[in-house]
Amino acid sequence: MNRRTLLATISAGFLFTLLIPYNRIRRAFLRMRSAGRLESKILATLASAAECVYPEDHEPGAQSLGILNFLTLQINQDYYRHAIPGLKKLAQSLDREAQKRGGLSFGDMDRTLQDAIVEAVNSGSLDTIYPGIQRNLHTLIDITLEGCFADSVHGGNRERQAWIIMQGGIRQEWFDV
Amino acid sequence: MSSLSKKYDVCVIGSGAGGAPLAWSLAKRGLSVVLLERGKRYSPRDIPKDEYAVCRKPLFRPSRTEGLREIHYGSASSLNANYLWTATCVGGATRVMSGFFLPMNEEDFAPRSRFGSVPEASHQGWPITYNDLAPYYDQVEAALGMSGNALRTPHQEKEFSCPALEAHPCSQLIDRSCKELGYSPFPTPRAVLSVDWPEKDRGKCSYSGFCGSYGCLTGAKGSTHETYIPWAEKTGNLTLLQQHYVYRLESQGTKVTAASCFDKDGVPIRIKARLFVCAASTIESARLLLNSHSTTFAQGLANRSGQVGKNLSFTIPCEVTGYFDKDLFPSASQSNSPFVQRTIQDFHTLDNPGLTYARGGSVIFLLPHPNPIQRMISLSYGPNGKRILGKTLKERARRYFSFNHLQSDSFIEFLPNPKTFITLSQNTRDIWGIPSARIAIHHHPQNILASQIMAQKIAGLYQHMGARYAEYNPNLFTAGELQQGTCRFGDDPTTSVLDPNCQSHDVPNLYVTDGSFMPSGLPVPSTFTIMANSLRVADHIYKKGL
Ligand SMILES: Cc1cc2nc3c(=O)[nH]c(=O)nc-3n(C[C@H](O)[C@H](O)[C@H](O)COP(=O)(O)OP(=O)(O)OC[C@H]3O[C@@H](n4cnc5c(N)ncnc54)[C@H](O)[C@@H]3O)c2cc1C
Ligand code: SF4
Repeated sequence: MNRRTLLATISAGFLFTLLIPYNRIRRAFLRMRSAGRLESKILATLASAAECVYPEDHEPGAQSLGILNFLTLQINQDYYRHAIPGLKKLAQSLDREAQKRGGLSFGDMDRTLQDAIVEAVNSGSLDTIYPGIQRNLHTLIDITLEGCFADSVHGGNRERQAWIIMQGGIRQEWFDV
Repeated sequence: MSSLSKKYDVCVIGSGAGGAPLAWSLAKRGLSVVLLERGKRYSPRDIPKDEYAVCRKPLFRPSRTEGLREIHYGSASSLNANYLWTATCVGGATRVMSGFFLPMNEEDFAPRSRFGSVPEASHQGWPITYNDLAPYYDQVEAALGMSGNALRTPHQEKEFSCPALEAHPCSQLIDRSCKELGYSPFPTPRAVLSVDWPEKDRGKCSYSGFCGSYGCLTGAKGSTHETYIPWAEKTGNLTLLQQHYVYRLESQGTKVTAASCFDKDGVPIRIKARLFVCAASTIESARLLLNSHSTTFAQGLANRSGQVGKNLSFTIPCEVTGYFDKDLFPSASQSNSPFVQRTIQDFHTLDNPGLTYARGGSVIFLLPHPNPIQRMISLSYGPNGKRILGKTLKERARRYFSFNHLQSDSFIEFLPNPKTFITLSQNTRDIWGIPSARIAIHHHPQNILASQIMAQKIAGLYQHMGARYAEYNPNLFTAGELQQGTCRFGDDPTTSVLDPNCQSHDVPNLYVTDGSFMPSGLPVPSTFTIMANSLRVADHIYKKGL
């Protein structure tokens, strides 16, 4: 083995030993991150609950304003990281309650039944069965209103339709030089 | 830890209202000054007029990852990332302020002599008078190019260099009704240019409508980022180190020797100087001193009096919203000017038998903040904190927006009291491992009463103006960004942290110039006074020599 091959073998071995722990750490980190992420099924349940928070009437509600899109784009970002465990629990509890009441997942239920569950959660009457569920719903209310009323660029408020309800009472455009 | 080999004359910590004017004043007179700023230097284009990105997330305050503060508000406790931060960026909170700049009146320097003492309140008279500060108010005014006019004393009016900003048409209704009721409205003095200032490279206000909480794209807002900082840089004597977080002031005996900080990559650096000025904001300066304990100062640097962190005070906002029929004046989106531009100072003294401390404050009128998210979230709260949702929420929103709104913010002195203070958290540290602030807040009963009395007076004015009804926000804590008092100045080293020139009683080469020096709250927003005092202290330092 000439000197060059020897050097190459040593460097490759060295890099390899460096890579093993690096890859392990990286995988552990990714696992940790995915544990703290909300998957699409949970997001769909949350979007259904968001529609109960801000429903469609003659003006659009959370779903048609694009709340699912907003959640998909924003919820796994740093700003919401602390809220994720609570939101996950909220979605699971809503599903469990829906199963109990109608044998369906929350998203598949009839809207009136969904509203009834969300109202019960909001009143605090389900907290004994699902501890903390009211607080988690309150977090979802804030996020729903953020999603619906933020600038469209963040994924919700489709075509700025949410702002119609404000009847010009809020300045929506800004002017500059 | 690496040490920068250069030893500066002066090291200033914090580039906001308390730090930058002083840094400029000393740099222009030839002293070498290093300005250490925790936040970034944002260009105007980095700051979108986007309520989600700027106000909710929020751009200018530390993220949860950077660290949480321990907050004890009455009986409720929480861990919070961005509550009670002013702003973390080059320029500090002046970058995002609304620029309502009112000076103090003569009587504001002696609140106890004027209004008396109150049990359980620790407010003190100031060790300086109006005349000590007046020349520096003039200097700030001339430097920033303020607009409007100021009531210097209740009887003496003074015009500023720029004409008043254009006012929303509802100001005419305010003027008429105030006059009928015997009040004296005047155009709100603003640290905002109403005309172009090409020689200072600043444009006039474009009435963007997104002012308080946002950065300014034209340079009209008189933040230190647009004024004192670039001017100081032009002298060639200022080194601005942005994204440098000072976590400890090193001392030997009774002298500060270095500021230890982390740069943006987390690399620890030590900055040496002959003199140190703390201007990291009321809460963060106290935290820094408490974190800088040593064998000589076991309770925290410059804290032999035990007063560092005590006497924390804010401003009681007394927010009252008037609901007006749409035909009385145009809505926010229909007018060229988003500024109401009216202030009254007729309620500085409150005459009510139940009130033993009869001090009120200035009332500034404004249109509600243009943040639709916050507005909807507020509407989703019913009485007793119950959340409103579904059809009821939408109906409530429609009813709310079927009116035009006028809002008033009052500035009532928050009475400092033994239950309102900052200490170091025993349980919470920031991302760098430094103990976070633990903030305890308790409202003095006299403040609650004063706020209610003031609200009734404002509601009476709205009624006279033709409002359908008025709504009082009983939350006494919406103006947490106006902070004072954790390192108060005074003559007595046993009851104050700083002497009348804001120099530490215990550590001769240490000064504190942010809002923390104030021994009582103000009946006006405080930033004009913080800036004026910063220039006053700079003069003192220069005259005294290092
Ligand atoms: C939205 C908003 C609107 C406002 N409107 C008005 C108004 O209309 N009128 C008015 O009078 N006031 C207003 N204020 C309040 C005003 O901006 C503050 O009173 C003023 O800026 C306080 O000055 P300061 O020097 O104490 O703190 P700041 O101006 O906040 O400066 C402190 C600086 O220190 C930096 N810092 C903190 N810790 C460290 C550290 N450890 N190391 C290095 N740097 C550090 C911060 O990043 C910051 O830049 C407003 C504030 C806000 C947030
Ligand atoms: S342009 Fe005027 S309204 Fe807009 S941020 Fe600047 S000072 Fe405020």
